[in-house]
Amino acid sequence: MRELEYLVAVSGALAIDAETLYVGWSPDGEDFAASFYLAGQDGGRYFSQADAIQQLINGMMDICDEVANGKIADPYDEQDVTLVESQFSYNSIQDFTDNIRSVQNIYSGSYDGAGSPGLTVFVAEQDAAVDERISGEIQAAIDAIYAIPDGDQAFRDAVTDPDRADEIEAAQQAIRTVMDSMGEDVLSLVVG
Amino acid sequence: MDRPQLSVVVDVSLVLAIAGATSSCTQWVDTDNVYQGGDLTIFDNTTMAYDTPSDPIAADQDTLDRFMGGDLLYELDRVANPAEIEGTGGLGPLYCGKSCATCHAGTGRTKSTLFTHGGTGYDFSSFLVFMRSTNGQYFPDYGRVLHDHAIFGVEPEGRLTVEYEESCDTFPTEDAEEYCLIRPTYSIGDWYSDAPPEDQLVVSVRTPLRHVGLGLMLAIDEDELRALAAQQYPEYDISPKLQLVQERGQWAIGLSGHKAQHADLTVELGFLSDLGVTSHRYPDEIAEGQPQVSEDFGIEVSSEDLASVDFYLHHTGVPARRNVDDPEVIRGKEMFFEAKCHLCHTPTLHTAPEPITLIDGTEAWHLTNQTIHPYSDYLLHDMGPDLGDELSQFSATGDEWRTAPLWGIGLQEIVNGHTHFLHDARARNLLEAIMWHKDEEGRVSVEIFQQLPKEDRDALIAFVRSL
Repeated sequence: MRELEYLVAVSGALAIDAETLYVGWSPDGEDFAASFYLAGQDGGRYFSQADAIQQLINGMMDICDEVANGKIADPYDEQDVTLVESQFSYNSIQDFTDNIRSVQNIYSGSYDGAGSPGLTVFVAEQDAAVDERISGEIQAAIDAIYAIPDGDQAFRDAVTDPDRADEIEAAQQAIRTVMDSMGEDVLSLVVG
Repeated sequence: MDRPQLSVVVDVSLVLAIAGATSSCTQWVDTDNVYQGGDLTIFDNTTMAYDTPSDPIAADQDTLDRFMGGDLLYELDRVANPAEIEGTGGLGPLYCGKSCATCHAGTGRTKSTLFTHGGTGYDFSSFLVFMRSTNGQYFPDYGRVLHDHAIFGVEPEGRLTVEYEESCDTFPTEDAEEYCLIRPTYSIGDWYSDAPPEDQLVVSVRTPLRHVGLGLMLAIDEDELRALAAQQYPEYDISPKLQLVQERGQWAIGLSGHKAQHADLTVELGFLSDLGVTSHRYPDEIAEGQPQVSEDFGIEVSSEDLASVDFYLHHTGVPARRNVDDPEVIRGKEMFFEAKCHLCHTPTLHTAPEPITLIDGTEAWHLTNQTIHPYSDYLLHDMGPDLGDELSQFSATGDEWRTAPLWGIGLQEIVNGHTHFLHDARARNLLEAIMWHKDEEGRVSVEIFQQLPKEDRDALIAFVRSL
């Protein structure tokens, strides 16, 4: 009975979330995309383009923080597999890399090989060396997460495996490096 | 982040003009100040605008850790007991949200289900429904607010529905711009127990406050507030009133809440009444005494955790003003004063030299000696029966409301994705919010505003958006 009520409640919540998401992005609804790229103009949600870009940078830093200092740190520091996200679907490593790939997509401006100029173009114009370094740091973070499991080992098994501690900590550090570069280098180029 | 170097345009001619017009009123000086929160001002115009530690807090690892710890607890989704993870349980049995951030997304004002679902929704409503009898007492089996959510096996107390009646009018100016206001009618159904007699039921629907500058608000020099309350403006029918409330057995100046009905930030009360989480100060469950009492799990949140949330709420940064040198914003500021908005939405106040103490006794030195620009006198004003709710709280009558502070208001759309304002969010944008000030102490301002040409009305709104 409790499971049934849970399913009913979750279904209702999921339906609302899906509707909210659809309305939020639909050109006939709230059209978030337009409100974003019209920053600083009529119909734009943000006061300036710099504010909109700062929003993207905040978002990239947020997800880096969440993965390095939450999703990985919580179960690793506590040595508690119940704190692992996506533990029942054995999908954690993919989830973490997808999170950092979202940073890569925003920074590069590309998704699945297609796209338009991203932050990389802006940063490269200011300082090509910084741009090259950050692009490399993002890829290094993704690679470092992939290096955590031993072969097909799931993250929930790696987290309590002493032989994988170096890889886990290296991945955390690689992600924190991306976060620091976004905060210290990219943000300062945007907001001055 | 280092503070950007800003070149602030000081509109001397305006200051002089106003000084001549209202010489008795000096608190508006320095309205161009970008640093709305004094040293606690932050520069972030994104969804983080209400939720970013200021430089003095971030500079010290201890204060930053306390801030971030409180922030986490503020956003933590709680679950019903027994919780798998220690320190995350205690939700319910009755509740209105599962975390502070349920109703205060981004430390702001979550969009209410009043508009998305016509009242209580499947998800969280993001409003509080105060209810009591016309004789001032709570109804048997119910309490101070309606809890429209409950854990498994317990019935929510009821659900709120709202219907809106829209009426439109045009401005009496050449542009004849049309504006519309929606007037809500609330009703409660699906009562879990006996329904209170309808003719005795007093209901007040309140939207969440933006949690901007709350610590600075509590730290305001009380003598300055008393002086503001003593300053009456009979020529404009404006008569501010100081709210006095009883808190922990002591009478104090009320500052927090839509009717300034609290003298602290109600962290302990919020955890109990809104989340159903018991604490040392409020050890009894919110459903205690109701027919559907559940198992007693004892104290559900530690005093240390509550103190962290209290510290966080006291020290959230205040967003800096934006676009201060935009000619439309500068013109709008002139119109703000022209329409006498500043007589209640006081631009500049000061915090006291002595620190206030937080709930764990911490002295909040960062909040002392600050010049701040909240655009509120934090006093009560009679706004007339159309905005009134017949629910008095301490010295606030049903028609009286605390002046809403405007600092950070222009960022609500970015932080929360909507522009609903006033105590029950009935105003769908700033223009409607202004027009609802049409009676009693807001009447003169609206009459002046109505006579302004459209570009000046738009400019005034642009100014408010810059706060």
